[in-house]
Amino acid sequence: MNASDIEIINRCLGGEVDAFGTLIERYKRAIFNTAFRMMGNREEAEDISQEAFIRIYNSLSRYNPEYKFMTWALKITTNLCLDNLRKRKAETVPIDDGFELKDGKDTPEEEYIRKENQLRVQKAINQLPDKYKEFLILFHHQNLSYQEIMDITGESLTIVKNRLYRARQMLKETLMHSEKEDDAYAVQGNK
Amino acid sequence: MQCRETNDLIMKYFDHDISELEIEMLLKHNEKCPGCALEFDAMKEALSALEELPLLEVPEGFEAKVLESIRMRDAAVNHAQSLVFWLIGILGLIIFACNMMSFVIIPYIRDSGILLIAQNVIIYAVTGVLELLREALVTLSLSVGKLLILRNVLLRDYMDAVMMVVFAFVGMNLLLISKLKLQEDWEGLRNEF
Ligand SMILES: [Zn+2]
Repeated sequence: MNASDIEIINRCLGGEVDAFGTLIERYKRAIFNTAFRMMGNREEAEDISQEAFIRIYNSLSRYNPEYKFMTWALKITTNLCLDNLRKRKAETVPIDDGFELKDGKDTPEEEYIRKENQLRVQKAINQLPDKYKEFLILFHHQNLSYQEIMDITGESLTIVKNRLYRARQMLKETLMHSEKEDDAYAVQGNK
Repeated sequence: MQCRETNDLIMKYFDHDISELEIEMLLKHNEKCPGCALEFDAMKEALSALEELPLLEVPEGFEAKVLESIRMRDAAVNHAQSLVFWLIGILGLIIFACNMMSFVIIPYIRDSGILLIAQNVIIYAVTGVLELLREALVTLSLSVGKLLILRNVLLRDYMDAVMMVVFAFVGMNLLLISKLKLQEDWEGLRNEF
């Protein structure tokens, strides 16, 4: 069952479509969650993840084993996300908080606060320019290394560091701003 | 330590690439510098909020959907490929036939003189047919002429016979009339006397 990625890829290339199911099982969480945080809603994230796996399958013969499979799969996924972000009109897209109830440890108030916070962060991510968004998600949500991000984006270390620096600043500013707005709204509401 | 250096340490901190000593330096600076402290706290809050975003469950039946589309696409590709192979095969056959015609069969016919023979045969056949037609025409006209002559002959004979009968009849009548007249004349003369 614990066949290496390369073994599975070779079986797929030999015509065993079912073997690809194992690869999907292994990487679907990372792919789907990256797509979700990039796009901000489940529907687009699922469509893009499916399309990403189909593209991965169709280009398995071009996979270079020098890179981790995860890196290569995320490269295809983020490229699809960036294409879709470029095409869409910002106003028309619904934002999904992606909220899932945890196993009942929290009180309803805690759940509500957690949900609001997640929605606020996702909105802040959506406001970032696409090329900064990608770096932030890969580093702080997928916990990838600089080297992996360089492989995925094809950018130099300097650019990766630079973008990440700018992206963090932008996220911080956006979140501080939205916090102030929320406070102002709360004060107005209390009057 | 300067704020600029602290700023680098803040970045190293969030890169998860910072030593214990550097963390100590950073915190020590922040105690004295509210600006850097605020920067650090705000950043820490924002990035931990991002890092704490939950990993979502992938929707049900995800693998099955992907595998299904892959199979469908493969089937469509195979179908299109076999169609293309068929078309190429047929096209190849047509090209082969054309090449055979223009480079093998036609030169062979030309070289072997079959074409000339065929031409002669056709000319011979055509002239033969024309000859036959002309003969038939002549024969027909001759027969018609003969028939016409025959008819004329028969007609004349018939006319002659009819004329003879008519003359005979007229002659007989005249003879009878004259005989009666003579008889009347004779009786008249006899009465006078
Ligand atoms: Zn400072």
